[in-house]
Amino acid sequence: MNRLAVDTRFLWFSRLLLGAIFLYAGLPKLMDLAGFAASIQNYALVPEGLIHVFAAFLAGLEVATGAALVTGRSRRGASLAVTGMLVMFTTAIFLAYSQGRSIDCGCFTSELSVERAGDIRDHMRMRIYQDLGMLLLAINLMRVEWDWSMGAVESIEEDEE
Amino acid sequence: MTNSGIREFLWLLVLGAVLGAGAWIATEPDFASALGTNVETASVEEHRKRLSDGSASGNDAKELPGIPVVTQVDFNAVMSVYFGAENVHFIDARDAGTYEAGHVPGALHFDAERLDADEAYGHATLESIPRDHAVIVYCSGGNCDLSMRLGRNLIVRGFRNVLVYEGGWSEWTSEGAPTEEGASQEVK
Repeated sequence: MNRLAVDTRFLWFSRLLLGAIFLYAGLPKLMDLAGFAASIQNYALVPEGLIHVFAAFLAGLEVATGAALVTGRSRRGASLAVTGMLVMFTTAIFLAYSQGRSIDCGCFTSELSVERAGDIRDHMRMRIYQDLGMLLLAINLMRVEWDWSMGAVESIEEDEE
Repeated sequence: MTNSGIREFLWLLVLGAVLGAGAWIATEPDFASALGTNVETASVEEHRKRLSDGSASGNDAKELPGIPVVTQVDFNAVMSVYFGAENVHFIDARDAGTYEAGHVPGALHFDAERLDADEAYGHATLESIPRDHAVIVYCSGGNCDLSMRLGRNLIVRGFRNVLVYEGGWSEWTSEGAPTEEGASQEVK
């Protein structure tokens, strides 16, 4: 196994980074559920009648997961939640992008102030790359937390000694 | 370990639901009413009837509680029914610079985000438009967000025949439809 992938400092950095990003993204959504619901609606993946409930739940889950990652509580559950959400976000943006649509991805509330289709599609492509990067960190986190967390980390630490 | 991980995950789901519900209660009633657009489509014949009736009965027909219904209109209906007709207003929801470079002839420019945030913005201009006139909103096209957002806002402000031109500017120009350049009249 790649030593970096199970390095305690790298895992700590991954948790903190993902947690901070999810808190930064989730808190404004909780405070502007209507705006977040509008973003979800643009994807046309959630039934109309469920958009409000889904928006409220997803914003809450983002904040709860972000807080868990930053504080180091419920690490296994948080690593699963963050991986699941990133898979969902990446898939949704990729689907919208591949369908030729130009939408505000809703990753961070009200981040777009321009409405040029080309700019928005560039922005969507950038978000896909960012989500894939975060997804790699999250999958590694989950792999360590769920499979060999202590054994693998301890073996690396022993090697270093 | 797996079981404890699943328990932690379920705990986070519950916590997320509680946080979401709390935020919903705190923002109620704005949340359910300020957002969510139910979208419907109409045939060219239905559009002709709407224009002659001076209202869009369809805007209420399928309305979910607290969710304004925006009707989408395609290029054929825009050209054959609305473009050049009386009592029809086009509103461009793109940014001002893009508008000035080219827009549908006679279209007004509105900043959708500002219209949402500032109740005074555009008040006088919108008051000059009778509520039974057809208002066609567009942005860059491809289900861009701002035209839907502006359309919802106009419905909330009492306009009864709000239509979102889904193809937007990209389709308008690719179809070779007329355009004009220049700044919009000042929105008051």
